[in-house]
Amino acid sequence: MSLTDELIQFIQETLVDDPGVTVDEESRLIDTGLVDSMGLEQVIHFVERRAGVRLSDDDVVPENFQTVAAIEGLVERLRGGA
Amino acid sequence: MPYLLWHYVTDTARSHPSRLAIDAGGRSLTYAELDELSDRVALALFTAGVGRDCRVGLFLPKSVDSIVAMVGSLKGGAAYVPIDPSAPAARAAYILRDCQVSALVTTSGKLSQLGESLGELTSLRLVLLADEADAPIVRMPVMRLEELEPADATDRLWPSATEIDPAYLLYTSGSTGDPKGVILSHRNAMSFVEWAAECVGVRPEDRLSNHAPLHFDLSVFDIYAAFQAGASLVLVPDRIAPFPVALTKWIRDERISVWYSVPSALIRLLLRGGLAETELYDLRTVIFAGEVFPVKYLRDVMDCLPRAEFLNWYGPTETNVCTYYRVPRPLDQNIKSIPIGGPCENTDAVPVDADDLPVGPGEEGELLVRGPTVMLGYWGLSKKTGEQLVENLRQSAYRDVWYRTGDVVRREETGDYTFVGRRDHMVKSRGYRIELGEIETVLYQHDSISEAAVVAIPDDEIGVRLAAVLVSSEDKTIEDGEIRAFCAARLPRYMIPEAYVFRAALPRTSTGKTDRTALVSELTRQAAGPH
Repeated sequence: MSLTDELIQFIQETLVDDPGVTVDEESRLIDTGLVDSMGLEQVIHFVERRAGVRLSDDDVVPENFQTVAAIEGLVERLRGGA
Repeated sequence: MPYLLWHYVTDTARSHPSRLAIDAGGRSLTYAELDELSDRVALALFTAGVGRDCRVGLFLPKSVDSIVAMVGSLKGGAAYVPIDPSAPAARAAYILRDCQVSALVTTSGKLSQLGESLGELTSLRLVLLADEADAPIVRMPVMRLEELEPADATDRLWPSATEIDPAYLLYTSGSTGDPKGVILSHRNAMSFVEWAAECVGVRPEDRLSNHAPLHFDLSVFDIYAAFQAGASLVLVPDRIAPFPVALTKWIRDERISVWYSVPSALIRLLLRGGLAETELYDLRTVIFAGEVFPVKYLRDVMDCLPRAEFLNWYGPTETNVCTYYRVPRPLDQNIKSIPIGGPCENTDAVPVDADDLPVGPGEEGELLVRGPTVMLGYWGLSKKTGEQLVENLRQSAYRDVWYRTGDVVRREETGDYTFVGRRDHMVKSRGYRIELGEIETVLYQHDSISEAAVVAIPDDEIGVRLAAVLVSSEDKTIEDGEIRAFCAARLPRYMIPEAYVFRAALPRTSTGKTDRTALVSELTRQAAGPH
């Protein structure tokens, strides 16, 4: 499974209460309240563990977490820059 | 004289109509606008027959609309019931059913989520939608907030509520079973708000942030102390709240002058939000409540904000706030925990022993509270209410009611109280009485531990076994043995946790407190599994 798929599955399973909501790569995570403060900590932990990257305080900004695709982009940059 | 909560809004709307009442990023309202829009809500409720002795459920994300709906419900004579917008539909439905709401303010999405459970809400007469999206077909009338008719002068004959009518219900999760609705009257809330506004010295030019969720009692201060003083309420946007760096900048850019939150929100700003590097020039008062603030972090937060006054407020939802402490500068080097201080003016707060007699200096006891801020009771739970609101403790010649907090405090020699722990966090292991909070205080003194929760896992043999769930502040792993030795150097043997579990973060309830119930059930499951 790709990181994108794993992340979608993780968010779907741990953060979505509403069975009617299906998460995909472009789902708005933050504006919709799907990912709140607690959820964000879980997502960060998941990403760091699965992708083997470290996020600095300055990486944890709204632009990088709007969608699964945005998180994926952040991981790419961190891997490229490492 | 204002005697209903919404009078604060109408009074300021009359004297200073163009002052900013609510600022929420994209949208803001002056007092005149807030007054006018909340009139529309009140009129819609009134027309649908919703008024005194009715409840209005608020199940929507925090927004200008939520605040308008609150004020509108109050004007209509009803009590409002804010529900955690991230709550599962089943829990929201339970609350709506429990207090028999007559009207519901929500969004199209949440209305679909509630689905069939709406059918069981026989009391529901009106749904008000805060968004534009297509709504599912339901049997009761649905109106959009956007489209509500203005109320003219002849419409504004709101039912004459009294100050002892319920103003809102806040559902708190019971340690066991279903959530229970704490009923607060206008008088309860206003006694607190007026005390709080004076304690902080809220002025019209202040900008008060609202960080806590609306179903959490911390919000009561932000909203109504702002309205009482004719100041501005600034809602922390959902898109900023989870991000520490963005939130610190938001406080600076929005020129927040009064901040009120749980300690953990401030600790996040300190550890991950660049608080030390950001000049928060306008922030003059920082209030924290809801949990114990570990001294080492409070010291650092205070160093980052050298001009701000720090206040520790204490009080279960049932009492609003009942004690307070002005944190001195500099903090005493040897202090181990921050006191909750002494009773608020116009409030009695007395620690008592097992016979309900006041304890002496240096002694511990359960805190009992009496005063105008103490709740009316729990919704529909007269037995539970009777257990918590006790009458006639002193054989007085009149009805005299005290609230049992269930919290144990120590009366210091200075007269201040220090929070020791929940009575129900008090456990027995091997016959010893153990206060879990005391162990946590020790764990927080360890340099590599940023968060700690000690839970008691039921055990047939010795009553309970203690497990510490820890979050490491650095990226290194800490050996169990090291922590155990650290505890052994500071605690009696029977208080040293047996198991140490490291986590990325502690689970939290929707109000930001450590979710102990979740930890206990998880660790109990693990303990019961194959060895």
